[in-house]
Amino acid sequence: MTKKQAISPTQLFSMMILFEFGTALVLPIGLGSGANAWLSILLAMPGAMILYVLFTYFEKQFPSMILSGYTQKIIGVYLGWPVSFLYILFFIYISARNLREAGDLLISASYDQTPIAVVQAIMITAVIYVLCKGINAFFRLGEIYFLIIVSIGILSHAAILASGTLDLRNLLPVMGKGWMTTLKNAYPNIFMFPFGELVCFTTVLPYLKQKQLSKKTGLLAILASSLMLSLTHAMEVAVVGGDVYSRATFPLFTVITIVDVAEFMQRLDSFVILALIIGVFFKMTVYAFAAASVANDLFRFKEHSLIAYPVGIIIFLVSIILAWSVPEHNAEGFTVLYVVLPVFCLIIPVLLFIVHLFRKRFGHST
Amino acid sequence: MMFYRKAQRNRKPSYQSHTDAANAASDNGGKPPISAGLADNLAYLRQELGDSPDMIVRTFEIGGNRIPAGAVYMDGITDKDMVNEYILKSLMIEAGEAMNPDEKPDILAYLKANALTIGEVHLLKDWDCIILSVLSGDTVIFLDGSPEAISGNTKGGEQRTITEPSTQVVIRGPKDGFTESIGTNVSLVRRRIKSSSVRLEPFKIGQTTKTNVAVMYIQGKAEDHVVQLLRERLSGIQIEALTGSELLEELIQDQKKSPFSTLINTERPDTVANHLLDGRIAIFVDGTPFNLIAPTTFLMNFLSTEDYYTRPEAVAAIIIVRYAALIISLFAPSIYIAAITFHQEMIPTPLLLSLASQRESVPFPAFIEALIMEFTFEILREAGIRMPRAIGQAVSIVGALVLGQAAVEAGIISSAMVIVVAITGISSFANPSYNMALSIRLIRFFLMVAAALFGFYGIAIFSIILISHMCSLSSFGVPYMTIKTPSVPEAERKTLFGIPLTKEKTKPQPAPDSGGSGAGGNDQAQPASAPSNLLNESGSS
Repeated sequence: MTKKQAISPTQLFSMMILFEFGTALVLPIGLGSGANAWLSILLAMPGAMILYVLFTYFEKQFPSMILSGYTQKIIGVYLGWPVSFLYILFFIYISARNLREAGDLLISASYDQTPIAVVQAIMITAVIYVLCKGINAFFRLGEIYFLIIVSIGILSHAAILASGTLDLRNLLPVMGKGWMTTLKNAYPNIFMFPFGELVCFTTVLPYLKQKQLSKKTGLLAILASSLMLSLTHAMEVAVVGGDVYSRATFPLFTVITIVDVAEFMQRLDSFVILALIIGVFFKMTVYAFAAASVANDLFRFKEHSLIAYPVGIIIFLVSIILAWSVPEHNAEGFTVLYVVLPVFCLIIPVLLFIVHLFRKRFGHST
Repeated sequence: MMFYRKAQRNRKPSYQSHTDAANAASDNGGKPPISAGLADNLAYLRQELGDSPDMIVRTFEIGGNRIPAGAVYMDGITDKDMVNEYILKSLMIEAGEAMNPDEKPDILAYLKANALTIGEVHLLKDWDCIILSVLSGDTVIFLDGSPEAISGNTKGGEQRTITEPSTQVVIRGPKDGFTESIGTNVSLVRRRIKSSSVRLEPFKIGQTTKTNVAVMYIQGKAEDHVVQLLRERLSGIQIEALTGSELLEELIQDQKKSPFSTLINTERPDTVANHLLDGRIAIFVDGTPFNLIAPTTFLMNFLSTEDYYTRPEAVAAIIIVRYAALIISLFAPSIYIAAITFHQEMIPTPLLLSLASQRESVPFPAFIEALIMEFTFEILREAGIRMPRAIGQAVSIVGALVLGQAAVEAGIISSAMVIVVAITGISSFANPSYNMALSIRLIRFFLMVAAALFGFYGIAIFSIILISHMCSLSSFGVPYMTIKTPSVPEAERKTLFGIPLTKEKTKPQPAPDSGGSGAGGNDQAQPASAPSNLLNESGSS
């Protein structure tokens, strides 16, 4: 493994986009925003940007320190350590949820005879392997897969356009249920998932080679990913209509099965599955990486890559015992969206920020 | 091959201790100092070399006062004309005429300075040097009464002449290839880059073989830390025998456990010249025409020498074809297996019907079928390499007819499988790098297993693991999977994913020397002396 651990802005950009795509590309996001999901995504974007600026602010105040490092600096070791430890649990839990979702989707898509544990075990093997290879290899991998997923995206969109199933009238009425519904879907729903989850990158930013670019890169990535997500979801709605869109388990899959270009490109389902696998893989690996680095920071392990094994295995076990069924898993998703994510992605960082400001202004601490 | 090497390595420690002991002994006087008596010296040398019949000893007398002298050389690896003309003749006849008989104490130095009309002459003071010198093809001269010896470089003998490289053929481009002699190889590259900033550093590797290894780079273009790293690695090698660049490659690469080789090899001097100009380092190994280039990235494996002599637009298109061939040769069988076994719904219905009817008579699952065919193809390929040319055709007919058509008709495999295996096999030959093709052959089977177990999901996950493995590789500190032009900070040849965007090396290169046109062949403003150089060049070759 290389000693020098550094990632380039391009790699960070790629990884953030892959992370944002995650499952959000395939799943209906915003829980019930229906036909106007694409608008909600755009509305949530400014909030995401502000949140990201907050993360980069911490990064600037405490250079070369990850989340757990400055949490302990700001609110003291006795309070900061447990909070950081909670973050490990949070990262592992969300990573496990992602793994579970991937397993469920794969099972329902085409592996109906394979036990879900096996599907998840395969995925977690790859996650552990990549984590062991270190951050450099992981982010370079992200760069390559970014190119792959963008080509898949261009190809699928081109196929959808060429198939002639696109009906822009499906997008109407824009904001049929009024401003409030759309805005409610944006905040907190889409603001938290997928944008709030960027809190993971607080453990990545210190590795960036050109520190001054962290803000610019991240904002660009948020802009690009929200535009692409919005475009994709608008496309989905335009093809199948708002009604089917909000009822489908994963609308992109439904959309792509409709595509038929010149009786030749008929079965692009594999693209969707591939995009799903790639997205979920990167999302859960970023979470696992975040968990591993916070753990490394808290417990001061010497060998950084070894933590990948326990973290990976715990994620795997949690993902199995998480829920008995898909409905149960989805029901839990509401709690996650309205309680867990806001606490860890928004409330704790904002509180940290406020405490930090107070201490800076009124405290005589260094 | 592999366990042969293993055995070599296992033998290494014991050997090492043995030589260490020998060295220690020589320090303590295990090998006697060179004696003043000629007869003693010659007898000792004979004994050291086991009284070998190809060691030629010629005794004679020098000058008016008849000093007994002896010349020793190995038959076959010396240039006999040179020995006769410039050593024996000049010592026996010309030296005697001019010599002052009073100058006995300095006679060796006198001979070295005045008598030996030969380019490279050394004064040797211990037996190790003398023995190595004799075994490398030099002629060593002993004089009665002096405890030293002179060696004259008379290396020569039968060698393969420069021929067209057999493994890296180009349509348009120079036709000379490296030979087994390191001297010739270096000169072939030197002829292409007439720059004073070309550096050549010699190494001797292998305690028994004492193989000459040379590192060549252009000062100011190659990155210093890479050169330094290479130097350290080469001088750190402890090995008994180095018989080719393959072993050296394994010894100096960054990560040992990988199916990918992080150094490319080439048989072409123009390729080496181009890489040197791009700031890379060439490693020449004596005894093999395959020389190494470092650092290497993944994308460099897809560049052929021909690309330097072709229009960039065409090259861009061809390189895309090569990438496509890579993907086909890697994924075709596994995708077929996955589609047939797990994802039938993704195959268009008419095709699916046709495939189903073909496969109806086939008794094996798709994976076994693919494995049989791939394995057969590997056997054919392996047999094809070793087979005498005369019966090669017979085998290809057997391969094509029996294994293709007949196997389909007999219902052992489906004809779609034959197509898949054929396109896979052909695609793997489109890869310019044999090393890469080998790695891909290996990985393909793992992908097939992944596809048989988990379909597209297995392929996707295996690919993630594979690519992340490749991302973790590096070649002399340069990441293997970098998308940018490999390792060259001031690369003039702009490339994207290895696809050249510009052709000309327009800006003057940072190397301080003039010209620098290299094998790329774009003549720039040459200094006034250049034409005469060119004339000399054409005259000599």
